[in-house]
Parts: sequence; structure tokens; C-alpha cells
Amino acid sequence: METLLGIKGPDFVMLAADTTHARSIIVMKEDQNKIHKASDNLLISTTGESGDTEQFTEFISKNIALYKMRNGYDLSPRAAAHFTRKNLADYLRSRTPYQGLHVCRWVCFRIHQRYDETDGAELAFIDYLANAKSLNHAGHGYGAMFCSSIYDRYWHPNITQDEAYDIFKKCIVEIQKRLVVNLKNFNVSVVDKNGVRNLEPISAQSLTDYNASS
Amino acid sequence: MSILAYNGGCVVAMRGKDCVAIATDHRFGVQAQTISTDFKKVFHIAPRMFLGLTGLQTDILTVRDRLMFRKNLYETRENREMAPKPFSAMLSSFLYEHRFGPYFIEPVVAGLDPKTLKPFVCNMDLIGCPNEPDDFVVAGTCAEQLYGMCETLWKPDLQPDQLFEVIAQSMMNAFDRDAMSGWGATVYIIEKDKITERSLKTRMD
Amino acid sequence: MSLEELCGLKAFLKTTNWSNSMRQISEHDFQEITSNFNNPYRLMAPVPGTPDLTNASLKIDHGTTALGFVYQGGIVLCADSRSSSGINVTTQTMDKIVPVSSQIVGTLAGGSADCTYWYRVLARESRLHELRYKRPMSVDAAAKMICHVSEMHRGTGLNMGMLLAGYSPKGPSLVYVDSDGVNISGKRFSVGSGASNALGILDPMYRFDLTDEEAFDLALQSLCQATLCDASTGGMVVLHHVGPAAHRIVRKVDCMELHKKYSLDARNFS
Repeated sequence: METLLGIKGPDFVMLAADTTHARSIIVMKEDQNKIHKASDNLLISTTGESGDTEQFTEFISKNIALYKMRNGYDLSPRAAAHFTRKNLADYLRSRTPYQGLHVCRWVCFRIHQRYDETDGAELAFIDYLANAKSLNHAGHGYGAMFCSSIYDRYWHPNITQDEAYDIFKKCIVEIQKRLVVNLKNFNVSVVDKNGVRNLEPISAQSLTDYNASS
Repeated sequence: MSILAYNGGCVVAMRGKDCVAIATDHRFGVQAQTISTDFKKVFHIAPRMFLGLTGLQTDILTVRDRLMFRKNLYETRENREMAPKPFSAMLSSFLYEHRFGPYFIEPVVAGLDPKTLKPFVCNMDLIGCPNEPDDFVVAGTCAEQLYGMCETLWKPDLQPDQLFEVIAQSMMNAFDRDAMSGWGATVYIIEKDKITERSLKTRMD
Repeated sequence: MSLEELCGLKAFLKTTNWSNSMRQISEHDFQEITSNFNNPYRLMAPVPGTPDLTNASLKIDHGTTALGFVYQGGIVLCADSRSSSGINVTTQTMDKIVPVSSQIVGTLAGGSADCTYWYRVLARESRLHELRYKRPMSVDAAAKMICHVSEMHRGTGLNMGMLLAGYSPKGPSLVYVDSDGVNISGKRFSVGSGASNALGILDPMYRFDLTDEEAFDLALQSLCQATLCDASTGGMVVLHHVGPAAHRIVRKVDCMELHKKYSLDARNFS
């Protein structure tokens, strides 16, 4: 039910995630941040079964931190994506109780992104089967079904941060219009050569005067 | 829908006269939704050898990584290049290791023997039953269509440029009848002294 | 004779000898067997003992994107022409926008056979309506009829989603009906597997006061996007316009030409 969106530009990656935390039919929390900062220039965002996403995200970020402590330098963005995928793929076929299938089945959809000085921007799309692909724009969850056409239309290779933020606005207008689930608020974060920054969240309120067709 | 058709995609390889060709489509989707149109399912693994993998994308990546590891180990230990035939044997036994929990892929190997330069093509099912014909091999969601096209267009002793034409036409016409493959294609022609990579612009629906 | 068994004749005739049984078939019996020729609502009931096919994965043609919207100049309907069975593309040239009468046009999505059959029935009914009452059948009446059909065949696996568009003296009307018995009228709809992709373009760009050209362009763009993103949408893109007086095909164009025009291959940069 949750939705994640991501856009890669020439020198940044921007991520938006809804802030709703629902349990069965109840909304438990309306300001849950699902975009996690794994290192100075690495963001991880996950959706899925709430306990497992938490555990998995933490496991990955702590290992990335450990790698830096041991080696004195950060894992490259592609390596970080590969590490994540590898873990997910191993869970998928293992039978040990902790890393068993029942765990990984719920550690669903995730986007993983970061900016690196040497490799440039990287946006990795990884789903619960550990299907992985580096993409220019990506989405997870039901909301993303409405967004692929908006991405295709407005994304271009030299996209700026303002334009990317505007694409998210368009996507969120559409999600709030068409998706049955009520996703009121979206957190937006960007990672570029200056590191990670949180941008103004996009909410139903902030979109009241927004004209999506412009 | 079969798990082998979850992400879509197809690969075909053909023998010609002193050359082989292998072609892949570009689609990466999650069932009917197309996610990306630049996913090539063919990997250059030795100077004159390509490996094509179709099926579940996660297993394509895993199998590729694990095979590269084993191949590199072999080459380090033997201190010589791995030929397509032993590579296929290794692939086959690797897949059979997972007989009761298989990787959901269908592999295709195409290459020239590094010593004799004899063309070689091979495909397998997901648990590693090898098939080494002297004409062509196919894999993927539009395997039936590819068989039909290849059966009609292929003939023995095709020159590299003719082989390109045959494989390109087979590929394009086959995946136009398949909803899960297409969105562009790439053809590799392997000859003894060069490898030619050509991208095909195809229908995007 | 396998056909005989398939049609349920065997259970019906209850005799073992075919040539004998032929003689025994009375006119009444023939009418029973061919009942849906006279009364389209009477379909042969399954032979007793036939397994329940409701949830069987029959390879029925399906997969579509169709959209329609009302604007100041009338109604636009737009659909692709791909029909697929499982993952195989059955045809790239199927007409999914069909005229029901001189006033009504509809799009079909879901099971092709279901839609084709019930559109034919609908066409027949609307013509009879015209002859009986000297005025055309309204869109709402046509939609109601499909609703009744859905109701009659609830739980049989009937699968269709239709957009019906037409004009009445009161103005334009666009109705969505499907095999669940849903019947909603509105200004803007999209149906089928690629609907969410089409809506992504259609929703932000739609205004009621679009000019004809703008409306056609918007419909083509939305549909074209769906052909790119959705595997079971493709082939030709057909655009219909429904005006107060008549409806007409505005354009019928290969989606590849539209891809070029709107250069939707943005994903190929990488």
C-alpha cells in the first residue's frame, strides 16, 4: 500500500516516500520517515512488512557503516546495491530460521540510492525477489503504477533538482487523485555532492494550489 | 503465469560458417508492467564466448555472478582460457546442483572454441539438460515463435552478414508476437578476429 | 462425436444411436438447442457434471487499454488493437471500438469473446428499440442492459469492461459498465490493464474546454504511453469522436508512429 518514488539526475538522486504507517485497517502514524540515511551520501528507502523493513534496512546500513570503519572508505554505490541484492537473494533461497523465506518474503520492495564522487549518481531498484536494476526513475508500491507514465513524459537526461521535485508533485497529485489508499504526506530527500538534504515534504495541503498540467 | 515469464525476455543463438551470432531483447518488466528497456540478457564472458540467460531476473544476476566466479577460478587454476564446451558442462552441473530448488533461468551459450575456432551453440533447461545442436538454440518467453522463425530462415553455412540478417529477422518477428519480450534488441556476431555488436530499433509495444 | 458431447447434445438426446436420434429431434428440440439464435440471453447451461470453470485459467483473449472522456466538442474514445492470449499476441489489428447504433459507440476490454457477443446482442437490441419506439436507445438504457446481463451471469466467469459513449437530447453521456454489474457515468474513464499508465497522462492534462485537436492529441498521447508501459497493450491506436450528430473514426495509427512523434523512448537514454 505504501509508495516510494525515485528519480536520478546527472548529479543527484531524489527520493520521495509516503509517511503513512498502517496496520490492518488503522493508520497508526502519519509522519513516519521511510527514507533512511545509511551513510553520508547513501539513502535507503524500503516498503513492505513493517518489522522486516526495519530489520533489513538496519542490517544493511550497519554493515555499510562497518565496512567504512574496517576499510577507512565507503562502499561505492554500485557495491552497496550489489551487497543489498546479494543479501536479499541469499535470504530468498536459505532455510535457516532467521534468514528464512518467511522473512524475506516480507522484506519487500526497496529503492536504494546514493551519490558518489567517482561513480556519479546511482539509483538502484530492488524488489522482494532481489530483481535488481539501475534505473533513471523508479517506483515501488501501488502508487508507482500511476507514475511510470509521468516519469516517461517529464524525465530527461539533464534534469535539474527543481524539475525532479516538480515531477514528484505531479506524481503525488495523481496518486492522491486515483489511489484508493489515503497517502496524505510524502517526505522528499535528495543526495548530491553536498550530501543528504531533506526537502519540503509534499502534502495534500501544499498541493492545493498546484497546477499539474503546467 | 510461470515464474520463468515473470520478467519476460528472450535470447537466441545461431551457428554460421566460422561464426556464431547471439541476440537478446531489452525488456525488463514485472509481469505486464515494463520497468526498463535497457536490460541486455547476454553477457560477454570470454574473448569469443557469450552467455545468454532468460527467466527470472534475480536468478539471471545470481547465476551470472556465480558462473563468472567458477570460470575465473578455472582459468586461474588451469592458466588457459575456458572453451565454450567445458563452460557448458560446468553450467550444466551447476544447474543440476540445484535440482530440487532450481534457478529459474534458461541459459544459452554461444562462442568459438579458442583453439579450433569451431562454432558452438548450446542451451539448457532450468536444471541443466544440455542441448548442443548444429543449427540454433532459443530461450525465453517467445521460444515457440523463435523456433518457427529460425526453422524457416536458417540454413547451413551462413556468412556473418547473412547470419546477422537471419537472426535479426527471427528475433524481431518472434517477439512481435510476444507480449513479454521486445522493446529493442542487440545482436552480437562472433568471428575469429572480431565481435560485432549491433542494436536493433524495434517496435516499442 | 466430441462436438456433440461438448454442446451437451448427448445429455439432451439420451439415445445412443446418432442416426436414430436425428429423426427423433423435433422442431421444438432444435429450438432448444439453438435457443440463443432467437433469444440471445439463453445460453446453453453447462452439462451436468462439468467441472466448475469459474476459476479455471482458461486462455481467453484479454488485455487492453481503452479510454474515453467528455469535453466541450463531444466525446473521445481511444483504444489499442492488441489482443493477447496469455503472453502470446493473438492479433495486432483488433477493433476494440465498436459502433452499437448510429448514436452509441463502445469500447471493449476483458474477454474478447464475451465483449464481442454481448455487443452484438446490444446492437440488435438497440436496433429493435429504434424500430419499436421510433427513437434511438439511450446510452443509459444500453448500459442498463449490459448490467442485467452481468447480473444474470454472476459467478460464471463472464469478464468484460465497457465504455459506452453517445449523445441524447440532454447532452453527451459516457458510461462505464462491467461484468461485476458496475454502472457509473462520468466525464473521464480508462479501462484495462494499461489504464493506470494512460491516466498518468490524461488526468493532469484534461480540461473540459479542450479544442478538438487538443482532445485528440491528449487521447493519443495517453494511449501511446500505455502501449509503451503495458505489455498487453499495443498495435494500432484507434481514435473515435462522438459528436451530437454522428460518430466517426478520427485516426487509426500504428503506435510506433506515435512513439516517434511524442519521442517516448526516454528510457533508452541511460
